[in-house]
Amino acid sequence: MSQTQSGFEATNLGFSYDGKAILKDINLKINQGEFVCLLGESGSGKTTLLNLFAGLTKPNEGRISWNGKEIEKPSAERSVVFQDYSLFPWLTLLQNVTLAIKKTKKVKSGDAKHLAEEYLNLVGLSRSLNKYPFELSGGMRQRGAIARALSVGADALLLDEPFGALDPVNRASLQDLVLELCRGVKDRPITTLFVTHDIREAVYLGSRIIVLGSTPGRIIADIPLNFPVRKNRSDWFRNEKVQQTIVAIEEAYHKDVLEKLGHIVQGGASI
Amino acid sequence: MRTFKKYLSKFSGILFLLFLLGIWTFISCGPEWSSQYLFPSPKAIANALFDSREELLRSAGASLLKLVPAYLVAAIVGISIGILSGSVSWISNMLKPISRFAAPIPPNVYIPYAIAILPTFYLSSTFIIFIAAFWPIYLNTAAGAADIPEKYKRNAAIIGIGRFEYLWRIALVASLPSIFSGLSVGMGLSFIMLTVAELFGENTGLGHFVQFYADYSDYPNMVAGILWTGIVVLAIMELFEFVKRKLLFWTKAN
Repeated sequence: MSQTQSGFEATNLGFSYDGKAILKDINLKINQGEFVCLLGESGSGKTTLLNLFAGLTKPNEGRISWNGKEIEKPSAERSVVFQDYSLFPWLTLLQNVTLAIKKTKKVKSGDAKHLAEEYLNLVGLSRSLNKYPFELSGGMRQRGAIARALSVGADALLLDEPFGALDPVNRASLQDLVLELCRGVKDRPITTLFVTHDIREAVYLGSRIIVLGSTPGRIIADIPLNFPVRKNRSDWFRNEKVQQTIVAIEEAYHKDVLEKLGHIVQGGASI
Repeated sequence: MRTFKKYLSKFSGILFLLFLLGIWTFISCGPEWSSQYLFPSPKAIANALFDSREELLRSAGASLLKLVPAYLVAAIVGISIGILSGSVSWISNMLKPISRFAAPIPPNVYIPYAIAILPTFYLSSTFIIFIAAFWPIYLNTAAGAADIPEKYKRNAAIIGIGRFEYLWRIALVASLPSIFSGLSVGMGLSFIMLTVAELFGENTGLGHFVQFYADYSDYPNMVAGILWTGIVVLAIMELFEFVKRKLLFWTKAN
C-alpha cells in the first residue's frame, strides 16, 4: 500500500440496495491530480460509486476515504457536477454560484459575489451572469455548474455524465474546458472523477480509465493513459495509440457483456 | 371571410356575454310569463349598483376584513406545518391520522359550534374561513415538500446547506408550485365559507348585503350584490394570479 494519503481510496467497497448488490469488492486508489474516467454501461453502478466518493451515499461494506479521512458526508472539497441539475432553477447563475461560495467559504457577501463573477468569467459566461437556468442552453448550464463546483475551492471534482445531454459541438467545447480547468492547473492539481459511457470521451479526457462491469458493478479494467498533448481534436483521434486504446476498451466491455450472456445461457440450459 | 371568422373567435367571449345580457333583457321586460319584479331590467340593476355604491364598498370592505386575516393566518400556519410535515418524517407520521380524518369534513358543519363557543360572530366567521383555507393549503404544501426532486436535495447537500436552512431555502421555494395550487383551492373555499357565514347571521359583508335585500324583496339591489361579489372575487383572483406568475417564473422550463 502506498504511503501517501492524498487522493481517494476505496477498500473492499461494497454497496447493495434492497438486497441487490450494486457494487462489490471495489479496491481503488485515485492519486491527487489524476483525471480518472469511469466507464461502464447503464446499471454498472458508476453513478453509485461517484455518489459514494461524494458522500451522498454511504457504503454497506468496506471503507472509502479522501486524503486518508473516512468520507461521511458531502463536502465542498469534493464538488459534484450532475448531468442536468446542478443549479437551482429559481436563482440566476450569479446567485447560484454566490450561494455556493457563501455556504462553503466564510466570506462577505460582496466578496462572494465578486468571486462568483470571476469563476463565471473563467467558463465564458460573463455575459449571462443574471440569467436564470431556464434562459440558458444545456451547454451554458453545464458551464455554470462547473463554475459553481470549482468556485467553492474544490480539490476534487466529481462529474456524473455531465455532457450526456449535450449536442456534439457543445460537448467538444466543454470537454476542452474541463481539460483546461482540471488538467491544466499546475499549482493546484484537481483530482477528477468523470463518469461517462462514451469511450471516446473517456479516452480524450482521462489520464486513467477504469472500466466497470455490471451486475454487480466491479472493476474489470484499469488503464493508465499517457497520450500526447491534445492540440487538434480530429488529428488526435487519428493517432494510432489512441485508436488502439479505444479498441482495447471496447473489447474489455464486450467481453464482460458476452461472459454475462454466456452465464445466463448456461444457467438457463441447466434448468 | 377568414378574417371575419378570426375576429368572431377572438371576441366570442364578449359576444356570448352580450347574448346572455340580451336574454336577460328580453326576460326582464318582454314576455307575459316573466315577472319584471323577479327579473329586474339591466338598467334597474345598474341603477342599484350606482345608488348602493357606498354600501357595496362598505360590504366588500367588511368581507375582506374577515377574509384576509383568516386566509393569511391559514396560509402562514398551513405552509409552515406543511413544509415541516413534508420534510420531517416523524412530523408527517404524527399529523397523518388527524389530517386524514379532519380534512374532508365540510367546514360549514363547524358553524353552529363555532358560534356557540366563540364570543363574537366575527371570530366564528374568521374561524370557519381559516378552517376552509387551512386544509387544502396544508395538504398541498406537505405533498409538495414530500415530493421535492432528489436533485434539489443532493444539490443542497453538496453546497453545505444544513437541515434547518434546507426547509426555507429549498423546500419552501421548490414546493411553491404545490403551495400555490393549495392557496388557490383554499381561496375558493374560503370565499364560499365567507358568504355562507354572512348569509347565516352576520350583519355586515357581501353575503349579508345580498341576504338583506332578498329579505326585503329588493331584487335589483340583490342582483347588484351578486354581481358586485363576482367583481370582487374576480379582482382578488387576478391579483392572486399576478403574484403567482411573479413567484413561479422559474417553472417555465421544467
